[in-house]
Amino acid sequence: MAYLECKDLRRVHTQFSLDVSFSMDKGELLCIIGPSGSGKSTLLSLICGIDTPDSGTILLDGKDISREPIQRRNIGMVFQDFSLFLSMDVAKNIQYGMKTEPGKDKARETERLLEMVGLQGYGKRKVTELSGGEAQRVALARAVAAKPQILLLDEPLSALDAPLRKRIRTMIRQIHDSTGITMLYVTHDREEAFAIADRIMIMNGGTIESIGTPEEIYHHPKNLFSAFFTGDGTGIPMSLFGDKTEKKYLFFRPEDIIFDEISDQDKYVILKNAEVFSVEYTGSGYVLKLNFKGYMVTAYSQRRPESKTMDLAIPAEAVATLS
Amino acid sequence: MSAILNSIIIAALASFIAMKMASSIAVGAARRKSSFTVLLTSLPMAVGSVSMGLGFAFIAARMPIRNTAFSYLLVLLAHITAVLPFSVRTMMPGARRIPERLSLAAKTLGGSTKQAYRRIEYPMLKPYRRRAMAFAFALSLGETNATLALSEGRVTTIPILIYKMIDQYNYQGASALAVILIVVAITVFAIGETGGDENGIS
Repeated sequence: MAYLECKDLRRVHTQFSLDVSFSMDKGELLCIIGPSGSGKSTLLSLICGIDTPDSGTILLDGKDISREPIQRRNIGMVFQDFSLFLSMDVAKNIQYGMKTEPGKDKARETERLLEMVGLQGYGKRKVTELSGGEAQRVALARAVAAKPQILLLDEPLSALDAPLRKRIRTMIRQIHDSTGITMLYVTHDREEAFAIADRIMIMNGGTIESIGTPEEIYHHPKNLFSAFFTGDGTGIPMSLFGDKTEKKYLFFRPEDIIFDEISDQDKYVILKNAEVFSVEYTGSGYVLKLNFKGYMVTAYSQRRPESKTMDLAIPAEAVATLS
Repeated sequence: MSAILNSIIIAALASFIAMKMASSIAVGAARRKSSFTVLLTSLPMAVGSVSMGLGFAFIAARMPIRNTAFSYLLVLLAHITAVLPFSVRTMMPGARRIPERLSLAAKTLGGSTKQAYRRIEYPMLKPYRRRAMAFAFALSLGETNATLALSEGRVTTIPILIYKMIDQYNYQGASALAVILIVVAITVFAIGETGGDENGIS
């Protein structure tokens, strides 16, 4: 049985409506990605209890929590802006909702949690003295201290700089693995989602576009939106290959394009005489933009192209037909 | 001496009670984004302290009790009503600056709304509470009309004594009391404006 299940969850606002159904298993880390206004944060608000759905149910471990007040849901939340309590020091913030087993000392538990987030000895510090990264780690420790059944993270790293984001996302995954806590993580950064998620859910316009493991989502996208949202790629209409019946596209990733001569042409989609439009050196290779019959093809190459036109080959299994 | 003591006791009690009430009114109004509550608490400002004293006098007339303690209580209630609008208005900007997410974060940690107010929002209003209390204290200290209408000669505060002294052509005594009033008010204002804003929003 699913641990968290959202069934036909609907929320209608004036210019936006959310309509989703999905489930997640106990101990899973599910990342929700999507563009701004896709409904990611609205969904978290409904699950957390900040907002109430117009219809549908939210089942947590088999119990309907759709109409329960926030404080009775036992769902933790880590906010983008940390939301630490300014009137308390670091230790008091962590102890605010702390649930300890009988006989366990709160101070010792606080120190253990601080150690878990790499902030040993920070207990007595004022929260106003913390850097952004430290503050978010305290927020994380505070949320874990309350032993929630599920932890929601609403773009927790978006206020931090890039190197720090990478460090803390690794820490979040480690905390997930060591505590076994079920996590629902919202981000707009696909790289972040790929790095830490067990599964990824892509949202757009208040609905779920696709859901699957990072590998499935990247290599076998279900539609063009998911394909482009999860990484670079090229979509070429089928009509260019004679199929005029449907509005479908051939989609492939830049790293799947082969520039060398190939022997068994039946196993490849061949794009002949693509014109080199631009070449960018990235350090690890080159990003090429090529014009194929008016469509821009993105390709990665280890060599700088030597001619103005090239034949491109993409293995048939790496090409998806999407709409 | 008793007039000075009365003034200080009434002002301290009125400003403290008004500050406590104003904190919860301001936080509640800020949470609900309601200006109606603020408007309602501002009404005593509009009616004037004589009318307010008169209102309290009507209520007192229906009560069978007549003693110093009762007059003291009436004067205190009138002072609280008179200073409350100013306390609420001083507190409102602070309450509006408390991020709504803080009480939500507290609730996700299992805390109630009351707990969030007591442990998170109330301490954050510290600088505003101090200013509101100083302001209310000074206002209460100088309050004359409602006190005059309600004291029935049983409660004498500094302004009432000044009033009486002027009536008796004792200008020196009245001036001396006025100076005391000014010194106390300035001291309280200074206390209200100084001190750190630790743990609070400013």
